[in-house]
Amino acid sequence: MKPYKTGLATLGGVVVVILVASILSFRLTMVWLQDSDGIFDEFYTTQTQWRYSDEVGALDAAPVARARVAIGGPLGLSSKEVIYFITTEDTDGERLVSGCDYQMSGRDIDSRWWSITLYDSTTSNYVPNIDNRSSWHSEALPFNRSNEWSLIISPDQKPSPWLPSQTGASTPFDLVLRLYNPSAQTRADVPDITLPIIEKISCR
Amino acid sequence: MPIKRLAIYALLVAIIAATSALIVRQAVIDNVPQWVMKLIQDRMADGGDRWNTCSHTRTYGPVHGGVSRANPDSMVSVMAYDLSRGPVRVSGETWPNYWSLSLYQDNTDNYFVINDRELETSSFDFIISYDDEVDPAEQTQHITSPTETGVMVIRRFVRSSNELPAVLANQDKMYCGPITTGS
Repeated sequence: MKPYKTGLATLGGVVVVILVASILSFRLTMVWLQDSDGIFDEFYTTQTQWRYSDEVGALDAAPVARARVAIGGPLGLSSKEVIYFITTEDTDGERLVSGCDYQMSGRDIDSRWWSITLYDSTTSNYVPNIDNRSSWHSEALPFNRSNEWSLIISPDQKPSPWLPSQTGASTPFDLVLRLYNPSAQTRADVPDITLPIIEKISCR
Repeated sequence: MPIKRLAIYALLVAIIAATSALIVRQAVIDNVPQWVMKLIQDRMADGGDRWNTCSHTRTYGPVHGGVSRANPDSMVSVMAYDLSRGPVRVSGETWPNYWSLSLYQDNTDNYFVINDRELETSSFDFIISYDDEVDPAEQTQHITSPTETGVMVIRRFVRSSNELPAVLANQDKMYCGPITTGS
């Protein structure tokens, strides 16, 4: 083979290697970023099953955290305004799935208002249900005299307060706890504040 | 081909492949927020006709098919802005239970947020511009956007569907658009 032909063949080989590696890397990176639970990997762990983040919407967020939040929950408010807690697990550390019923309970949290929202982890979106309910907030939950509350998470209709999960085949869901304008004390104590617990009742 | 030469070729191929993969990986991570924001802006702008115009959620509760992991307890007003056409004005009345106005640059960063308690008045009047060329006569709060395009979100905490008529009235009092008109 003549030298220029050898050079062209080498150049062609290099281009092919670069193209294949780039296409593979693009696809693998997108799959990695779009992993249904990927958004949570960039959240800090706490003493409980909850994770939290102060990088949602932050100007100094790490590139991977920004990318994952952009896919999994864009347009969040910065930690100046809201603190986000997320969990995909019950108190025993097992994955939250719609094939099981759970009791979620907790105390009031010192903030202007807070809410708990259930999302289908496979769609990152609300779960359709007959009550058209995907959340409970601090002004709607019934508190007892000890300032405690509890609700049932289940695909089957339950007495209020009921937070519906997905019907049909068992699929994963996640819970987001948002604290709007937390008090200075709450902000100082995060993440060591009393967070809700999620106990499994039974599975189908 | 001698084994040694083959090994050198294999090593070069591996180095070229790994370097290409790392460069592409970082480029994807760095650009995904802009791609997501572009999708959100295009959707808010309805394909181009509704830039610098506010849209409102008009129903209470979860609205399926919106952005991922939105908060169903907030009724929002949103606007995709494009400041290449000049500054944009947003004005109206706040909402008593909780109200906030937040602005996002084109990489999804929340570069500005203010809530009703910080505002201290029951009405608001903001001008968003890409540079500082805003008429000094304007008696409004001026916000400089780090990027030419972005998104504005106004959130109102709505405790129950009983508050829906008042929220709709609050939304109808808003003005979003060019600086030259509106209040």
